Amino acid sequence: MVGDDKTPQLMQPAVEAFRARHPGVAVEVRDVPWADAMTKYSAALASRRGPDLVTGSTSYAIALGTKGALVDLREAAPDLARELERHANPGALRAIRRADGRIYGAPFDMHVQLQYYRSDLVAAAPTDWNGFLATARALRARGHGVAQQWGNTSWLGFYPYLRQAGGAVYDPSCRRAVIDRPEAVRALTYYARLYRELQAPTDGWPDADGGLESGAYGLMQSGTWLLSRMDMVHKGLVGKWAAAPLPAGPTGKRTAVLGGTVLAITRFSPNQKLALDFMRTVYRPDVTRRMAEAALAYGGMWLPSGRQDQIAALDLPHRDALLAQLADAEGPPPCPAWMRQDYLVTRAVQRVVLAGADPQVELGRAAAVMNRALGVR
Amino acid sequence: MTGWRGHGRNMLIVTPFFALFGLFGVWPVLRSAWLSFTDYHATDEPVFIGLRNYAELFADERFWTALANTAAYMGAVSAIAVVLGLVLALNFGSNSRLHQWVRVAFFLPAVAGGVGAISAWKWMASSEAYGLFNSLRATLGLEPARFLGDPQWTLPVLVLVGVWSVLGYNLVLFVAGLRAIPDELYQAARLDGASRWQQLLHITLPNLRPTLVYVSVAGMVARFQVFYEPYLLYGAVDTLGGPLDSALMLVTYLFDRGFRQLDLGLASAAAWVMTALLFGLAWLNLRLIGKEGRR
Repeated sequence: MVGDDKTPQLMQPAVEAFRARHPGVAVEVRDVPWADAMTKYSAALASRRGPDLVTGSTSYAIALGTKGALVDLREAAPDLARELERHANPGALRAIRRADGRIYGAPFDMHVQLQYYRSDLVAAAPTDWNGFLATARALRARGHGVAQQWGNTSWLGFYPYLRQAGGAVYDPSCRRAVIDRPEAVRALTYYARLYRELQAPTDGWPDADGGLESGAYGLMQSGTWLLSRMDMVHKGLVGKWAAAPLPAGPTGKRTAVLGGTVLAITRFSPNQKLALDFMRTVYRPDVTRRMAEAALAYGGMWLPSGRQDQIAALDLPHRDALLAQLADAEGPPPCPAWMRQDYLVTRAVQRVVLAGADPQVELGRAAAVMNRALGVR
Repeated sequence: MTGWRGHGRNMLIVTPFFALFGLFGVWPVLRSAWLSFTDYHATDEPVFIGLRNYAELFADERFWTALANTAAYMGAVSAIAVVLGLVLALNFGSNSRLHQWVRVAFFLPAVAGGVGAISAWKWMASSEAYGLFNSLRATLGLEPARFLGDPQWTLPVLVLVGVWSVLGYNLVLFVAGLRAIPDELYQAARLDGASRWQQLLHITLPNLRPTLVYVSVAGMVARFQVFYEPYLLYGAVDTLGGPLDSALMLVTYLFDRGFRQLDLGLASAAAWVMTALLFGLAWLNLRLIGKEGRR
């Protein structure tokens, strides 16, 4: 499972519940750092051995599933697939459901982007694009900047604006790139203003939470993992920060990128039945809640994307903002070509942001290359 | 006459080495050569597709970007680290306490590098006004620079980190090479009235040529395979190449294609192109520097 040395603690409630039903079965949970996950999983797949269950990023699950490495839940466990349809975060489920309906795994956990701001500098978080610009300008006039952390100057940072403007990367069939449409151009034009006009930092991962503490930034965007960590890591921020959903775009939507992981069964697992039963255990409401509480106990944040209904019962900081954003969040495009083509969107974004290129021209170029690879004439 | 039979016991002793070398050294190399001609994603058996991976590789503009970035990085770091290492060795090569401490200071990055050191560099080069470099710029009245967020700074930052990490190693090798030059040569030159510059040109550099060849070739090979510095400084969860792919190196590209996109056949082709380029580079180096030395 991708994670750290705390991951076994998180999984402990599921392991205990599973072993109560299968006393003779040993369960071993191993954490794999994000950076190593892809190499380890690839090696396991090549050797046809390895873990029965894995977690990985949504895009990676789609890529692995497309290559035939993961079990299709719709076929192997229709009951679990139906359960997920009822209780999983819709955005998380859409992100892993392929155009042909297959689901290579179940949403496991999730994070979304949120606005974080200094409540002693900003009375209320901006609620729309214009409000964001006005607030950021007022902050800059007082010496405080704005920053984006998660997905900065890449497709991931741009994607919420794209969706808020009503744009998309591909059409619903995944057969054509539509990133050059006027909605996308409008989104990128606006996104570039954060950098060119408001001078947001362009580092891959700026120290935005540190900057919020120092006052370098008064407003920033990052992931929900900061909710449980902010007071712990930044003592100087205690009582001086708040969180809110992203500002709404022209469509009125406040869509954020939904990141996180997927729990999936490897096709080569000799224990697929047991693995499916383990998955059913993980998605039991009582087990899910205990897992989330175990994470909170060590200062982590595990938001169950497969049982979103359980989140409302958790004692989370800024829960209303979190729930509002989770209701309007989307994963990356659920298209097999996306992992091969995401760099084209990132390059278009960076050419506009860093080199001052024209959004229409750059998005047009990206769409042309993507469509050529997709075989669109 | 000594044949296999005469060396039976010796051969038996070295057999485990050759068996392990064959299994973990030769076999994976041969296997990757085969995979480079196949469509292989780790999930199914490889399917032979001829030269299609190589064609796709050469048609991918990101590959050429990675090659250009790698060549620029390798050339800059290798040249600067060799010249600076030699200058330092010439000036701090004695047994005096001061020179020993200077050598220790320069060698420290070679033993204390790694992820922790790169994280420290990331903090120092941070674009925030309170990043160390930007704090220094502020004392000079300069605006903060986006060292990690502006493509024009990528190569200078990577070269700085690269030279810092390898300079001490080169220094130590050059000091060892300098000490191997017989002192009598310098005494004779001084008796003949040779200046320090003439001694450097006609005694030091020619005698140091084997060390120079080794440091240059080994350094270039190592720099060509650079991965974790650009990966840690510029990689993020959703991108590996940094701003406008200015930090995309060949190994990063290979990692992206092989382990992120699961195109292991194409990644194997990229690895073999890298191998061919490295052989070419080493051969060229040996021809240029080694040939001079044999004169």
